[in-house]
Amino acid sequence: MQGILIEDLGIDFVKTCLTHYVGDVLFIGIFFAGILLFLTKKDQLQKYISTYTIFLFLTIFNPILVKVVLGPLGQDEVYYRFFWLLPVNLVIAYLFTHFTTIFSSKVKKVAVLCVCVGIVLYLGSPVIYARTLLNFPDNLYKVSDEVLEISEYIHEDSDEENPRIAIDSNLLMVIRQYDASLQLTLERDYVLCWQGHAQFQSKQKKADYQQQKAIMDVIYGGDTSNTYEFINAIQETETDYLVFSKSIQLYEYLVSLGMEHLVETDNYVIYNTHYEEAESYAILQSLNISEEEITISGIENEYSLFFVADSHISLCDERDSALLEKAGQRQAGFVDANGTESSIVFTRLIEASNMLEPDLFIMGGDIIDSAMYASIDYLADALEELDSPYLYGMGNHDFEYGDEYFSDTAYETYLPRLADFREDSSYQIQEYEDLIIFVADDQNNQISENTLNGLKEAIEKEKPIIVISHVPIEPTTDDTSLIDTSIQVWGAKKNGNSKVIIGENGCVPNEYTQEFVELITDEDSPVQLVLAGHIHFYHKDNLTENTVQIVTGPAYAGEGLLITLKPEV
Amino acid sequence: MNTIIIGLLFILELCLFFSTGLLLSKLLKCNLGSVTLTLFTGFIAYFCIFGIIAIPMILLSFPLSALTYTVMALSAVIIIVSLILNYKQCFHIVKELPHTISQHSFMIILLFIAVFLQQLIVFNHIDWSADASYYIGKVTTDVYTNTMGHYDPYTGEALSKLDSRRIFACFQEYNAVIAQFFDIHPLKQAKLIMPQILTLITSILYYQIGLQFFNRDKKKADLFVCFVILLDAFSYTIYTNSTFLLTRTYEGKSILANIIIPGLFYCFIILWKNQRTKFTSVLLLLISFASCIFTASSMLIVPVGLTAGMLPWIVKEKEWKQVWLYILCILPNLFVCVMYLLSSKGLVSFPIGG
Repeated sequence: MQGILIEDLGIDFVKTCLTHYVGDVLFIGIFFAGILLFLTKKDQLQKYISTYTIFLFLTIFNPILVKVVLGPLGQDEVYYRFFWLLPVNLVIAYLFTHFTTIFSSKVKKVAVLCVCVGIVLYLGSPVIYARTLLNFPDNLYKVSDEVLEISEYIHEDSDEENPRIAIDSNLLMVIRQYDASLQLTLERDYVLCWQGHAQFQSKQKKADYQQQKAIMDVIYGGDTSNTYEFINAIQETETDYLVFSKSIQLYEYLVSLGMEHLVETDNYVIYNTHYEEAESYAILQSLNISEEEITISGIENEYSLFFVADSHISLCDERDSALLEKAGQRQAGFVDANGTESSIVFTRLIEASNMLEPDLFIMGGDIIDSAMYASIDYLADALEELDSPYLYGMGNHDFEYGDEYFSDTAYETYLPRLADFREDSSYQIQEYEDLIIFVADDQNNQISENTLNGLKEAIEKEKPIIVISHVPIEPTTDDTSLIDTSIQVWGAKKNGNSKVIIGENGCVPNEYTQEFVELITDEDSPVQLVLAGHIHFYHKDNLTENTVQIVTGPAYAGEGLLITLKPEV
Repeated sequence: MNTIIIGLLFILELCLFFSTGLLLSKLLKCNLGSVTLTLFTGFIAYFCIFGIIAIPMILLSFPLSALTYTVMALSAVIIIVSLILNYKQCFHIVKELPHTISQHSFMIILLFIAVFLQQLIVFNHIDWSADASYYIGKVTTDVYTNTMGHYDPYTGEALSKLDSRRIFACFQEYNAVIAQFFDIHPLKQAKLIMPQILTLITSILYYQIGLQFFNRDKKKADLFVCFVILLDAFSYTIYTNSTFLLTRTYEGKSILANIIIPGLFYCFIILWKNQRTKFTSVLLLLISFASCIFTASSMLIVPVGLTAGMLPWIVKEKEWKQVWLYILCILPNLFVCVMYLLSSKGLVSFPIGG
């Protein structure tokens, strides 16, 4: 009996169990009366029936003995089975038969018989209600026809001998009784745990439960907020089919993940997960990758660039113990809409990049939140998995360290920690046959002389240039909302200027920066596209009449930019 | 066609149990003088033999087919030998049938109606409980994989060791054997044929108890059975033996509640009436042993029942020699109990394949 424990009830345990066992079957009183009656009789058999029952009550139904002896054995939940030893119905039937046949008159016999039957009907509780007595099973397997249908549909569709399915909880207990060739992803105890059954809540601690929960959340609960975990679970469990109630509306969601709507029965719907291909769908689904197509005059080849900025990976360990607390706080702030931590989102962006196969992966600053070893190691491991070449420009955070922010110490001690990812310079460059990609390091909303000279050298090569600047540049066109929006999001300086944009109405450029901006915005500038980050929201407009500027949203939120550069026709 | 096959198998299995009963009575040199008692005894004896064959094969990771062919070959031998040795008795039974029925008068009609209604309830009831997913899932899984307990019935995952809790309770393998040999779906054997057999055996046992209660008055025994069936139908809480009989008939626990315990009670009645024979002692032993084959739940319940039924009688009647019978009867379940404790403490395990 679930929830009825010796430990809780003590000597009341037996009484409570008996009360539950008897329930509404009140004619059991006749049994006890009969046992007492037998004690007064001379009949040996009757006396022994009484002795047998009394012996049981002195031993196995003795509250004190049960508490002392059975308690430590942990048989609480199955204790009720000892009541089967009581010959309740046999004794009552014996008494009824005896009293019915004691009379010689048939009328009296029938009368007693009717009374006995009436007692049973009145004081009993029917096991099977009369209305269900003639409800014949759907088939000779004694399972619903839907179970047969589902099994048939899956085998028709599957090439595998033992397809694995995640199935509705109502079918979980029955499907393998009919079809043992099906393997089930979801385990009974975990399903009961997910459904909230108290005695199964301890299962929550199991690693397998978390994996299966991700599937149950979707097909039982209709919760689509954790796509990546869902697909991960589907893949790791190699689940071929999902079978769930039609009341859960998941068509668009599952189809967007590359799953195939197979068929519907009266109450259930079946999907083929095609799980081998589902990962790419899941990754892309969990990210927010914008696609842009830009025509670049002067190029003959088509290029694709995958651009990310501002992932703010903030992993820290004992090697940077002074920053542990701050890093923890920062880490909690840089999560996507599902609460997924930025380093994991960054890995997904790398995986997405591998799927999209760009010519170049560009990191436009603030990829790590501080030059902590754990973050740098994580980044190194992630980039190890990247299929394409990459460029990494510095933002205002990548090599900061505690209070060291664009200080000499930051440049001398912490920037070198990132040396493995970049050339030892204040800009990075990728030169193609007919195109140059120029990634400028940020210097606290300004550009260094070295970076300026780098751009000048690039311009001298007379090829179209794409410039990546961590901090966006104020457009020279009138119809831009960049300054206003950035002020709305980040607030304004005391003079009313934007804090996060380079320009007259933002961070006023110094000598080098001004020249850098002019080189970009000049009417004859070869720079045709500027990519930026920093402000943590997406924005696209014309920097000049000839140059487009696209600001990507933050990578920690899963945002990225896939740009296709097309030759002018 | 399916229904006919199911009906034929139902009859064939009853014949098998009856043949076993006949053979046992021949071996014990006692004429049971009753078709129903022979059937009940044969049912119990057959599962004792089945357990003796099946348990070592399960422990040694034999394929199910090995058990199937062994058991079915032995069953064929039992039927043939029994027919050869008892054909005269069989003719006698058939010859005496009208007389036997006449002893019941119209009560037999009432009895048949009651038994039929009980069978109908069991036939129509569909049980989707978690226990069914294990017990029936195990039969289906074993037949599909041609193994015995090597795969998790809930999920179909391969296991590294046998379920030590239920290692001796190999009753469900019988269903797997029948399903495999006759190439029928395990559900038909486990949820259609076997529950009908079990319900019938239960009614037979009630009848035999009735005969003991009323000094072999068949009419009173008939009425007694009708009353018990009525009482069973109105004894619903999820815990009662009646509920198990009518809704979870296929489970070993139901056999414990409705065949093993009443079977013990039947033997106790004979002891208490001081009408003990060699047959009663053997039947008591067989029931005690068979209980381990049907369900692990018997490991405490059966010894307690045996103690309550036998010890006061031994003491009062000073039947001290029967202490040995008592000890022999509780030994199988005590052994199961010890093995259970050892396995639950991790001291004993049964790895698959060795």
